[in-house]
Amino acid sequence: MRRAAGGKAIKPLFLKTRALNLRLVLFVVAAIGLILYDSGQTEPKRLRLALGTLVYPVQLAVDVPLRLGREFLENLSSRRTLGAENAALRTRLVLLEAQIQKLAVLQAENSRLRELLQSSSRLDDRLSIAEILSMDLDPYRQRIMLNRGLVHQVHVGQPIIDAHGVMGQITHVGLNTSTALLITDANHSLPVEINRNGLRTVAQGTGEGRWIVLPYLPRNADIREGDLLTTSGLGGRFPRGYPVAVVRTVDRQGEGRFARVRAEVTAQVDRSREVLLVWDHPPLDSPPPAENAAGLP
Amino acid sequence: MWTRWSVVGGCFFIALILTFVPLPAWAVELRPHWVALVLIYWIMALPERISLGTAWSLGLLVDACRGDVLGVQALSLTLAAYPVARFHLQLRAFPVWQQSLLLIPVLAIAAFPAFWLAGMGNRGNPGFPWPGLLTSALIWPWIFAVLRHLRRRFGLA
Repeated sequence: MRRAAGGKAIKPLFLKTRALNLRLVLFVVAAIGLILYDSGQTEPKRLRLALGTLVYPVQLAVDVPLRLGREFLENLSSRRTLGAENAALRTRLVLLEAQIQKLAVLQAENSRLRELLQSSSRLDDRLSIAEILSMDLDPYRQRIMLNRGLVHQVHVGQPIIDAHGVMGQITHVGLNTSTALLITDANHSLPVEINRNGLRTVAQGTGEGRWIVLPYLPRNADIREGDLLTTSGLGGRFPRGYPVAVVRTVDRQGEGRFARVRAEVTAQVDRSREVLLVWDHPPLDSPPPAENAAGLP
Repeated sequence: MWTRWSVVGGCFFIALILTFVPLPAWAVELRPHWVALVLIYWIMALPERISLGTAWSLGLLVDACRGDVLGVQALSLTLAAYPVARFHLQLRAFPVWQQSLLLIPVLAIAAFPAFWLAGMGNRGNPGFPWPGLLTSALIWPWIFAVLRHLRRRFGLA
């Protein structure tokens, strides 16, 4: 085949160049079309699901050896360290359970108060554990890939958290995997409120490490170092009340009308192995308020 | 036929894995563009068989692995494949280290779509991935040697 082509004179070569140019135009147009078609989507499309299934072996091939290696190392760790770890975890469990007992009372009290105010509130989000696949996705963006997908009812826009706070939200869903954008990504914005006084603002990722910034606070805003930021639930994506970050620096001296506030996210965005997917229960307007009202004395 | 498919496909598979293997933070920028390098070799070696269509499809697979917008890497690899397919005879005539130098502009073109999309609407200003291009150029002679060995071993011409 190649020999035949190489043996011919200049003219077929010229024709071949024209065919190549034509194909270049075709493929470039196809790629740009695909980018435009795919970038606006929120529903998982059949094409993406098919491709995702096709490349699943690659993702497994990257992830499985690392996972096995890690498990092997964990197996090597001696009995004594395991015992110590076990004891520490048990103490922690007891502490947490004690706190949860209190939480149940608080939750009941909270919902009673809310009933009195006739506003609905839900603290019982459904959670499910997902594991982060060890894949370096993109040097420009803070993104992770999870081992849960459409078959596990993951959907685009779904919040993910870890044991310490909000991590990010799902941006693309495949059949068995999904990718999430972390709140530290420079393109991510998150409506937050200051836990101390309820002041609402928007937190933006910085793209560097564990830092987010609050760019829209006026200089005289009531915010201090050490303030805890929680989700305000205003965007409609993240349920209210999950911790997001702790304010580290407040600079009111700089130029411009806004204070420069930097906060460190509480979630272990760079260290977590497991994350929790949050299913926010039906939107606020669906629980019937009539029953609550009728139940009041 | 089947040998060619499995050898070339296997190379692409390994390149894909290397693209996504986690690296320590300092090395992330230095990751060579494995998929593009392997693709460029096979286009130079088998231009009748492997050309823009392969580049496009392979790019689509990279996009699917990334779980990001489909089509970005398809565009990148098509753009990188074109000059190689067009000038494969001239490229073959160069010594390997000169091929390395010539690959830098080719890969820079390939890096552009992703860079451009990352810059769009991004508040952080990502730097152009020069370190990755340089390591790609540095590693090309080895890739070339390994793949040529494979190609000769399996008698692909």
